[in-house]
Amino acid sequence: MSIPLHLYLPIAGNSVNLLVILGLGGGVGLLSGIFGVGGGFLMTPLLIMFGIPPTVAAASDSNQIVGASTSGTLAHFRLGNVDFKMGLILLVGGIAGGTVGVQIIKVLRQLGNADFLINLTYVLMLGIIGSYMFAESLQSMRKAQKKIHAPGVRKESLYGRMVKILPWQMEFKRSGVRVSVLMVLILGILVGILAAIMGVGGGFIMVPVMVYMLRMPMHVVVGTSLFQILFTCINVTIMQAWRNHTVDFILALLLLIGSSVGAQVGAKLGKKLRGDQLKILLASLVLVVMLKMLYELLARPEVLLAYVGGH
Amino acid sequence: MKIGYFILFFAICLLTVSTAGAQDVARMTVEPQAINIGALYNGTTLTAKGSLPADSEAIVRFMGTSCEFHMKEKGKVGGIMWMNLDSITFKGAPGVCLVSSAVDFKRLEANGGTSIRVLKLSGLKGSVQIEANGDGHENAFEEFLKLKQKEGLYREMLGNISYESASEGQKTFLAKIPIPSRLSPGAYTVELDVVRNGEVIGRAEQPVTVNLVGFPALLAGLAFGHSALYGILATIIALLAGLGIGLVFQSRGGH
Repeated sequence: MSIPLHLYLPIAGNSVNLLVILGLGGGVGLLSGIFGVGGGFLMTPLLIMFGIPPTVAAASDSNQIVGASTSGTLAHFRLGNVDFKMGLILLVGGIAGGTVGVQIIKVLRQLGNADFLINLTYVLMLGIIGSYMFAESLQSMRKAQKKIHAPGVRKESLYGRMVKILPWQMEFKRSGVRVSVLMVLILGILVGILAAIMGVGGGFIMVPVMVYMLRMPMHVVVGTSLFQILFTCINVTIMQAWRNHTVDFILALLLLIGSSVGAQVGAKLGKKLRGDQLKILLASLVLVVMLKMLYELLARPEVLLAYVGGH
Repeated sequence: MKIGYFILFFAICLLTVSTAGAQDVARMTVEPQAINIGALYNGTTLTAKGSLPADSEAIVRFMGTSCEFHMKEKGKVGGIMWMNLDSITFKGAPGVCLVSSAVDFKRLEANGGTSIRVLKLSGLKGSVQIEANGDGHENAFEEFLKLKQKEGLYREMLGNISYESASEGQKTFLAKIPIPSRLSPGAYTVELDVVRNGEVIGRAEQPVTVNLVGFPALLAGLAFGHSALYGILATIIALLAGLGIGLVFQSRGGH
C-alpha cells in the first residue's frame, strides 16, 4: 500500500505534493527564524513556480506566516529577544502607514503603470538595503578584527547626535536604546507605506530600519520584527479571506508545519551566529532576490500574458 | 404562402434526418460520468469508448465551459524592462481543452477539409473574442494558448485512442484521456468527432460533471459562503499551531 503524497487544495484549485510543500515551508521557515523576516518575498514566488495561482499564493503565505511568526516569536521570547514596547509602537505606525500605502496603490493603479513602479521600488529598495547592509557588515567585521589589536574610543556620528535631540525620548530597556517615540512611530509609518505598496509583510525593510536607524542589537531586532510581522499578517489573512476568498487554509497549514519547525531551528542557529554574520547573510539573501527580480525585469518572459492579480 | 410553409417544413425534416444520420455514425459512452474531487485527488483518467465507420478516424475532445479570462499583456517599457502593461480579456475560451487523436492532425488535414482545423487548439481562435486597448495584440491568442498549455489545461495528445477490428463496416475505439489535477468543479463535455477525407461526418457528445466532495467541499463552502468566519478560523488555527509547535520544541529542551 502506497502512502498518498498528493493533496487537493480546493481554493488554489490544484493538487500539490505534500513533501514539496513541507520542504518549501521548512526552508523558508529556517530563514525566517534566523533573520526575523516573514519570508513572503521568497515563499510567494516559489509557490507560483509550483502551480499555485499568484493571489492564492500571496494570501495563503500570509496565513502561514501567522503560525510561523507565532512559533518564532515564542522561541525568541524565551531567549529574551523580543522588545514588546518597541514592537507595539512600530506596529501602530505600520498599520497607519499600511492604510496610507493602500490608498497610494489605488491612485497609482488609476494612473496606470502601477506594476512598473511596484517592481522598480522592489529592485531599488532591495538593492539599496542589501548593498548597504553588506558593505556595513563587512566593514564592522574588519573593524572587530582590528580592535583586538588596537582598541580606541568611538566618536559619535552626526546622526547619533541628531537622534538624541528629538523630543519625547523613551528608554527601551530590552533593546538597550533611548530614542524618540515620534521617530519610532514615523519609521513604522514609512515601512508600512512601503510594505503596502510592495505587497509584503515588510520584515526585510523593518530589520535594517531597526538595526541602522534605531540602533537595536541584531538579536532583539529579529525577535521584535517577528512579533510585529505576526500582527500584520493576522490583518492580511482575515482581509484576504473575507474580501478576496484567496486564503487556502490547507496550503497554509502544510507550509506552517514545515516553516514552524524551520523557524525553531533557525532561531537556535541564529543565536550561534554573531550579529555581523547574521547581517551579512541577510544582506546576501536580499541581494540575491534583488538580482532575480532585476533579471525578470530585463529578460523576455516565456509567456507574454499574466492573470490579473499576479505579480 | 402555403408553398413557402411546405418548403420550410421539408427543409426542417431534411435537417433532422441528416443530424440523426450523423449521430448514427458515431456512438460513444464515457466512464466515469462524474469526477469527484476529494482530498487525495491528483488527476484521473477518463475513458471514452464507442463505434464509428471503419474508414474514418476519431477525434475526442474534453471541453470545459466557455469563460472570460482577464489578463495583463507584458511589454517592454523604455525598450529595456518587461512589465505587465495593457489589460486584455479573452471571451468565449473554454476553461479546459484536451484534444485526442489516433493519428497526426497533419495527416487528417492533408485530405483537404477545413472543418478538422477548428477541432485543434489553434482552431479555437475563431471562437475566442479578444478585447484590449490600443494596437499591437496580434499574437495575443498564441500567447494565450502558450499560457494554457503551460498550465496543462490545453493539450493536444496523439496516440491515446486505439481501435479494435472492424465488423459490418464499423470499428470500435477506446480513448484514454488524462484529466489534469488542476481542475475546477463544473460542467464539462466529451465530444467525439468522426472524420473522413478531411471532413467531419459525425458527432456525439456526453456530459461529465466535476464535483468537490468530502473535506475540499466543506472547506470551499466555508471559504466562499462564510468568508469572514473562515478567515478568523484560519488565523486562530495558525496561531494555535504555531504555539503548539513552539511548546513542543520547549518541552524537548529548547533552551
